[in-house]
Amino acid sequence: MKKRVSSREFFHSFARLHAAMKPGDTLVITKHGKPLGEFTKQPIKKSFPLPDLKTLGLEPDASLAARDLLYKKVMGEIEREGVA
Amino acid sequence: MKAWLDTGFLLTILTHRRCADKAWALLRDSEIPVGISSLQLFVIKHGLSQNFTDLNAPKELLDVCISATKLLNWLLQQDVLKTVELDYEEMIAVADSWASKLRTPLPSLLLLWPACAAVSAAKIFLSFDPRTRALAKAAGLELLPQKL
Repeated sequence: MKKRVSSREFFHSFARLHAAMKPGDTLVITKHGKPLGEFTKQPIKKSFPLPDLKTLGLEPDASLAARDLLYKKVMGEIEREGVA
Repeated sequence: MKAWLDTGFLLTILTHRRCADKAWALLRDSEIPVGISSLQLFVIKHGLSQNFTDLNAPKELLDVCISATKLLNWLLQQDVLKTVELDYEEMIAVADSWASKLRTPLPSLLLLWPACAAVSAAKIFLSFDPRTRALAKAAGLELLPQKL
């Protein structure tokens, strides 16, 4: 549930409200109880290092054909579900 | 949450199929965590787990399935992916409105993935599927990769 604040509180207490927000949090700004708009605190851009998937045991030794086959099986099921 | 994953895009990463390198590169350049719905996660987990109980599944396929499941858990633990709470009524209403306008019917779940992104207020949709990309684009989302 997004926090709601009045436009008056938003303009007069912006520093306090902003400090209490986490990156990516959104405030709904209201006037007379009705939403006027939203304010979202800038999310922090984090990039993550490409993991060595082989070392972590997260990449199979299987052939490309087996990898493609699993993809097609799961996606095939998704598409069949939609048609049934 | 700025970027949203199409289900097929995530599955490409998980299975290390063709073009997985391109998907990894796009994911690494994205602002993380990247959003996904609990429905998408359920469909992927369920799709993978069905192979574990398939007695006729080749061993190689099971190996890919095991590593895909491990990788999915790892991405969630590392907060690279994050499930986002969505208003499912709104999401279905969006998908329903698209369905009524399409000349060629699409499988229901393919309508739902871009609808998840649209309802979540994501800005970017990562997908290799021209069908879901077209819907996401119509909803005003930026597409990655920019061209297929």
